[in-house]
Amino acid sequence: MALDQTKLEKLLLKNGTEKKVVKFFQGASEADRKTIAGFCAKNFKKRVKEDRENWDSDDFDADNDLLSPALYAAYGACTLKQIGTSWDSWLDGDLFCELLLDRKPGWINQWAEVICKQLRVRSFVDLRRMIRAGICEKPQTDNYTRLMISGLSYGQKPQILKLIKKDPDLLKEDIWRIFEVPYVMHHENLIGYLDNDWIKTLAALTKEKKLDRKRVFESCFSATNMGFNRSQVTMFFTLHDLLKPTPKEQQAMFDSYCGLLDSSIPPVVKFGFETLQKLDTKSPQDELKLCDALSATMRSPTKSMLKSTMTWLAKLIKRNEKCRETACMAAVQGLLHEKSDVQTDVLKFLQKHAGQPSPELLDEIDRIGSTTSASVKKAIAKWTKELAQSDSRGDSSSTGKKAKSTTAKSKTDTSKAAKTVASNSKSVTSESLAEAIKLGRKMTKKIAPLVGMPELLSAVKKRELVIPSVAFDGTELARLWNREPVSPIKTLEEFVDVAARGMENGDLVEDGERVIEAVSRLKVFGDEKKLKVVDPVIKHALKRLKRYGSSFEPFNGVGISDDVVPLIIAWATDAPYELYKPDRPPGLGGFMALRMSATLTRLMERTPLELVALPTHSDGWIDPLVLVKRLKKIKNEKHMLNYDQVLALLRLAPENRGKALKAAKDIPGEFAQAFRYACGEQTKKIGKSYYLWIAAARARNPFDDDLLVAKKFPDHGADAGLAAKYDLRRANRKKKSRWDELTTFYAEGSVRPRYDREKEKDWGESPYADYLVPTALIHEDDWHSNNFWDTKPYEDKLILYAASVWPQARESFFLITYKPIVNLQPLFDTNTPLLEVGTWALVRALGGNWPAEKAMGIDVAIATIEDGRWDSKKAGRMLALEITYANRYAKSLPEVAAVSPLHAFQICQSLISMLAAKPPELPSSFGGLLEVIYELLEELQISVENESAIEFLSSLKGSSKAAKAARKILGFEVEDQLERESNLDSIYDLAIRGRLGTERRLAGK
Amino acid sequence: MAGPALDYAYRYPFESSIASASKSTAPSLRLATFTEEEVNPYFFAGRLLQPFKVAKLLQGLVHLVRTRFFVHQAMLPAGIADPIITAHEDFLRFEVFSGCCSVYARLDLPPNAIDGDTLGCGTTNVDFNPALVAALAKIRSTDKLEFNIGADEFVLERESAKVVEKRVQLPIRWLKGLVAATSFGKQMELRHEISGAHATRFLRSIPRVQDHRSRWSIQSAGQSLRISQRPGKHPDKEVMAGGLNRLRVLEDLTRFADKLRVYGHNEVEASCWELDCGDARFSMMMTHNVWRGFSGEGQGLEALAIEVPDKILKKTRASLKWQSIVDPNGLANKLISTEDLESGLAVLSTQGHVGFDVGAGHYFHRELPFDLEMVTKLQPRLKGAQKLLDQGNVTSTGKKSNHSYSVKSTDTTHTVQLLECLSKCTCPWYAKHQGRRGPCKHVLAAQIFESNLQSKEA
Repeated sequence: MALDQTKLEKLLLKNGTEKKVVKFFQGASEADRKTIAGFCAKNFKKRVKEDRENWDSDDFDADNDLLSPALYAAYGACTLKQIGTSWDSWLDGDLFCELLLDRKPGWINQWAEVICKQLRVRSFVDLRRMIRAGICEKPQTDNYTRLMISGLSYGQKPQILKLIKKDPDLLKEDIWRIFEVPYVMHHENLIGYLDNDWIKTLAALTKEKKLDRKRVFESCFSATNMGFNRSQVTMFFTLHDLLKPTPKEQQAMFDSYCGLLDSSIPPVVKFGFETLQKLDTKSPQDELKLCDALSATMRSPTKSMLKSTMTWLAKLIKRNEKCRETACMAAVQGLLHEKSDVQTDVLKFLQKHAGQPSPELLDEIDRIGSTTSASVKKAIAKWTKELAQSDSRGDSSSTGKKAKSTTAKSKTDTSKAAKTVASNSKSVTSESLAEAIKLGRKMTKKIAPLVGMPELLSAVKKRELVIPSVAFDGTELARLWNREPVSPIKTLEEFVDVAARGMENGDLVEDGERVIEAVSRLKVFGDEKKLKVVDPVIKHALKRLKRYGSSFEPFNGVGISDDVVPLIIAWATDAPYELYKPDRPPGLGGFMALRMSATLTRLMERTPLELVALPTHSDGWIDPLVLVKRLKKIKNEKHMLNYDQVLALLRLAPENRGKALKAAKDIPGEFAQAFRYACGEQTKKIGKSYYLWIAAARARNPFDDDLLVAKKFPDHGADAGLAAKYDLRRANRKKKSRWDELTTFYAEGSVRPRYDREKEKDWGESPYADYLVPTALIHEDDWHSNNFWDTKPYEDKLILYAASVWPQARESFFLITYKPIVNLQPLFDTNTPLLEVGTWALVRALGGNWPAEKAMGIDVAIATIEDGRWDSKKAGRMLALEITYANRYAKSLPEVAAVSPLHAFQICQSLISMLAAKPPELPSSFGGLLEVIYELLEELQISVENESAIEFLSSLKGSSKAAKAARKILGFEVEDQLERESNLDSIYDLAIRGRLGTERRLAGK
Repeated sequence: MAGPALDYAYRYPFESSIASASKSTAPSLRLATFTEEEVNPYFFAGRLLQPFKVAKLLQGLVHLVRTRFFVHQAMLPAGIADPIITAHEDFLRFEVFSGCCSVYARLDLPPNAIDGDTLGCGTTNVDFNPALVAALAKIRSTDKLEFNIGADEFVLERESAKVVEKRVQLPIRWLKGLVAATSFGKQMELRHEISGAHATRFLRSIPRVQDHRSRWSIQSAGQSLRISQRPGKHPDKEVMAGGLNRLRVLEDLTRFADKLRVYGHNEVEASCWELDCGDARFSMMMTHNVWRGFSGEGQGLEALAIEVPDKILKKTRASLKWQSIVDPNGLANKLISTEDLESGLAVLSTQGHVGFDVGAGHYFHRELPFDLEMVTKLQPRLKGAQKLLDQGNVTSTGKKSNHSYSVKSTDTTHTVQLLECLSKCTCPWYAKHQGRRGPCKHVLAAQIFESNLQSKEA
C-alpha cells in the first residue's frame, strides 16, 4: 500500500498530530517509506530551522508545535543519516517505541550506538524495549552500563527495583557491570553515578536471592581496583554492610579484607582495617598473615592509621612471639612518614620489639632510615651502635652463627648509618675555608661592600651565627652582560618567521616588540614583490581575526600576541579595521593597549613613525648608547609616540650612561633632554612634558625621591616624582564564612604617597593622561582600595609584558600579581636585588597553596641563599606576617634547607628571626614549624642564641604540640662540638664562595 | 564525537583467573590469550618466583589501563583494551596504555622472575577481567603461584563453556601511540637514578593537585630528586615533565623497587620512569602534558615519510626471531649491514614490528596483534603531505644545496627550509609548535619530494 504524501502533509501542518503520524506509517514497507523519505527529511529540517531561529531571537516562548510531528514523520520514513544525531532529533517515549517496533528500521543498531555515545539517559528504557523485542543488539560499551544506572534512576521518584523486576534480563549480566564501570561527567551531569537508591536496590535484590550473594561480595572487593573514586567506592562498602555478612562469610573473605589494605584509596584502607580489627577481636586471626598485610597500612600517610597499626602489631607480638620479625618488618615502613615525630614513634616501637634484629631487618632499617629526618637518623645510628656493642660484649641472647653474622652486619650497618648522616653535609676541611677567606679578602674594593664581604669575613672570624646579606639595589651593577641581545628584524623572511611565532606565543614579549618595531620601519604596502614574501604571515593574521570573530578584541590589555595581529594587517593591506578603543583597561594593561592602538592609528594613516623602545637585550633592557644612535637618526621628534618615549626611558640599563650622556650632548628636543637627565645630567631645568620627566626621574634613581620633578609635577602618586614607600603590616580582617563570621589574620600593606584623583582633570585634554605614567599606574588599584592586598591579579601574558616595562626596579612589579610563577622570575637574575616587597612576595610563594607557586618560591629561595641575597632577618619578619600558613611553611622550608648546610642554616636563622618577631595569634599548625627548627638545630648542631626568640619560646606554655616543641628547642644542647665546627666551616665556606661567584657576575664576567 | 576507532573483538577461549585445581595444590594464574590469527596461543607454563610482587605490578598495569588522567569529551566512548603480552624465548613483556593515551607502561619479567617452560614465542592480547583483578589483590607474600599464558588442551576442553567475547572500539590513537612511544624511547637517555626508599619519598612529595598546566624540571637533590619550576643549570642532567600526578601510580610499587631510573631527552617531549625491582622492571613513559596523547606526537612521521628500500625491510624482518634484545651489531651479516639494519628497524618500529626497551637501550621484537596498515594511512599529516605532492604543489626554490622548497597550500605559498637539526616552515602550525611535535605536512611533503629526487638521481 503506497503512502499518501498529501495526507501526511496535511497532518504535519497541524499540531498534536503525533499519534496520527505514527498510525499513518503503521504497517508500511520500507520501500513505501522510502518514497516519502525525502519530503519528511526536508520538512523536518525546515521545522528545526524555524525552531533554532526562535532560540536565536531569544523568543523562547514561541512554541514550534509542528516540530514534534515532523520528527515522528522523519523517524517513520527517513534514514538515520537524514534525521541526524543533534539534540533536535532526540525522541523517546511509548509512542516513539511503538513507531520503531512497527518499523524495525535497519539502522536500529546504529541508533543504539548513538544513544550510548551521546549518553542519552532518557532513551535507555526505550533502548531496553528494543533489545527485549529482539530488533536491536545490546551495545557493548561502558556507556551502556552508565546509561542503565542513570536511566533507571531517572525522574522525580525513581523506582529502580520495580523497573529491574520488569526487565529481569538485566539481572543476568548487565547488573554486574555496575561494579566495573565508573561514572563520567557529561555536560555537567554525572552519568552512571551510583546513589543510595541503587545500593538499596542491589541489597534488596541480593536479599531476595535474585543476585548471588557471594558474587556480590566479591564484586564489591574487585570494584576497588576498577578506577572508581573514593565516594563511589564507599558506596560498595555501604552495600557490604547492608548485606550484614555472617561471621562465616567474613572468615571466608579474610584474604580479600587483607587485600584492601594495599589500596591507594584511603577509605578503602580504613574499611579493610576496621573490618579486620573487628574480625580479629571476635575470633583471633592468623598473626603472621595479619602482620604481613599491615605493612601496607604502615606506609599510610595518615598519622592516626600508623599509630593504630603499631598498637595492633604490638598486640599481635604479645599474642604470638613468632610474628615478631614480620611485625617489625612491617613497622619499619612507618619510617617513610614525612613527620619526624611519627618516625620517632616508629623507632621507639622497633627499639621495644625488635630485640636483636635480624640482618634482613637491619638492612631494611638502613635502607629506609637513610631517608629520615636528622634527629631520627642520629637516633638510628646510636641504636645500631649500641646493638653492635652489646652484641660484641656477648649480652645478646642470640647464639651461634646467626648471632655472629648479625653482629658483623650490625657493625657494617652502624658505619653505613653514620656515613649516611655525614653524606648530607659536605665535609669541608678548614683548609678550604682558609682558601675561601683568602680569596674573599682579595675581592675588589668596589664590589666587596656591595656583596657584604667585609661583614661576612668579620662574622666568620668571630664564628658568629649570622650570614650578612649582600647590599646592592641593582643600580650600581652591569645588567646587560648575561642577557641575550635583541636585534631589530632585518629581512622580510625574518619578519615572517618572528611575526608568526609572536602571534602564536603570547609569552614571547621580545618577538612582539620586534614585530611592532619592524612594521614601523619596513615598508611593504603596495609592493607586490615584497607582499608575496610576507603573504603567509598576512594570511595567518587574517585567519586569526576570522577564527575568533567578534570575540577578538586586541588592545584590551591582555597580551602582545593579539595586539600585533591588526598591526600586521594595517601594515600590509588597506583592509578596513575598526579601531577598538579600550575602556580604561586597568593598570599596565591600559598603558600597553594605548601604545598599541596609537601605533595602529599611525600605520593606518600611513604617517611616519619612529619607535625607540625596542629592547636591545632580553627582559626589556635598552643599552643607553644604542638609544643615542636611534635618537640621532630621528629627523622630527613628532614621529615618535609619547608612550614609546616613556617606555624607552624606563628600560634604560645602568651601564654606559656616562658615555651616552656625552654622546647625546647635542641632540635637540625635550625627549633628548629628558634622556640626558635620566643618564645623570646635573641640571635644574625640568621640561613641560610631565610624563617624560617622571620617567626620566624613575630611570635616574628608581628607589629615591626626585625632588625637582616632584616639585614641578606633584600629586601623580607613588613612583612618579617621589619613590613608592611600602608599609607591610599584620592586621585582622573579618571574613564572613558560610556559617559564621570569622576573624582571620593577614598581612596587609599600602603604598605612599597617595594619588589624588581630584587633580586628574588638571592633566590636560587627554582622557588617558595618567596612562603616560606607567610606574604610578601599577599602583592604580591601590588608589581605590587603600590596600594593595586587593590588587587585581594580572593575566600571565600581561605579567610578562609588565616585567619588561621597568626592569630596573622590581618592587612595584612584585605587587601586581599573586602569580609568583611568573612574577618571581626576575629574582633568578643574581643582579636583581631582593628588597622588602620582593622578600614578601617570595615568602608568600613559599607559603603558596598551588604546587607550582610553592615550587617557584623554593627555587627562588635556593638561588637567593646561594648568592647571598637572602636576608634571614627580613625573611623572618615576613614569615611572622604570614604565620597563618605555618603548615605550608613546615613543608616548603625543609625542601630549601635540604639543598646544603648553608641553606639549612639560613632557613634555621630565618625561622629564629620569625620567633624573635613574636608573631601573635598562632595557628594550630605552628608546632609543626617548631619541629622543623628543632630538626635543623639537630642537623647543624647549633642552638638558639637570639634572646627575643628564647623569650618567645619560653612564653609558650601548656601541653600543646607547639609548647612541647618549644621546650624541645630550649632544651637542645650541642652534643657534638666537632660536628658543629665542621658544619660552620661548611656554611662559611659556601657563603664566601657564593659571594665570589656573585662578584664575578656583578662585574659582568 | 569520539575520535576514529577500530571495531575490535577479543575472543578468549576461557576466562583468565586464579584458581586451584585442588586444595592441596598451589593456585595458578592462568591468562587467556587471543590473536586474530590464532585462538589460544600457548606461550608459557611454570610458576612465578615472586608472586606477590608480580601480582602488585600487574595490578599497577590494570590501574593504568582504567585511568584517564585527562578526560576529554572525545575520549568518553573509548573502549578499554586488554594488555598486550609478548613472549620471547626467556622473557615476558606486558604493554598497556592509560585510558587517555598519555601514559604507556610496560612490565618486563626477565628469566629470574619466572621458572618454567617457554612453549612458544609471539605477541597476544591477554584477558584481564574484574574477577582476575580482585584475585590478584588477594595474593600475599607467603603465597605460591603457578603461571600459565594460554592453556593446554585439557583446560580448553574443561572450560569450553566459558568463552569470553569482548567487543571494543579500539581507538586508533591507542595504536598510533604504541608506535610513537617506540620512537620516543629510542632517543631517551638516563638522567637520574635513585634508591627505592628515596623514590617513595620523592613520589610522595609530588603535588596531589591535578595541575595540567605546569611543567616541571626534575633535578637531583642529594640522594633524591626534587621538582623545580626553573630549568636547571645543566639541561643534560634533568628531565622535563608535566602532569606529575600520573606518577602516583608508581608510588605503591616503589616498595618493591631497588632503584628508580628516569630517562629523558632535551628534544623529546616525554619522560620514562623505570622501577627496577630486581627480578622485574616496571616502566612508565608519559608525555609532557596530560592532554597530549602519544598518538598526536609526530616524532615518527619523518621515518614514515622517507622510503627505505623494500629489500632492506625484508632482510631486517627476516632477521627478527622474537629476540628480547635486537642488537643490530650482533645481527649484521653478509646479507645486511649494521647501518641498513638500523634504518630498517627505525621503519619497522613505526609499523609496530619492534618495540623499544629504554632501560636496556635496545629494540625488542614484537608484532602487534592489530592491522597497523590502517594506522599508517590514518596519519593525518602524512596524508596531507601526500595530497600536496599528488597535486604537484611542491617545487624546489633555487639551488639543491639550499634545501629550500615552496609548498603551495590552500590560500598561500609556504617556504620550507630542510635543515639537518630542525626543518622550518612559514605555516601557523610550525609557528605554534616550533617543531616540538614533529614536522608539519609542508615539511613532510618537502622531505618526500627531496627523497624522491635523490632516489631518481641515484
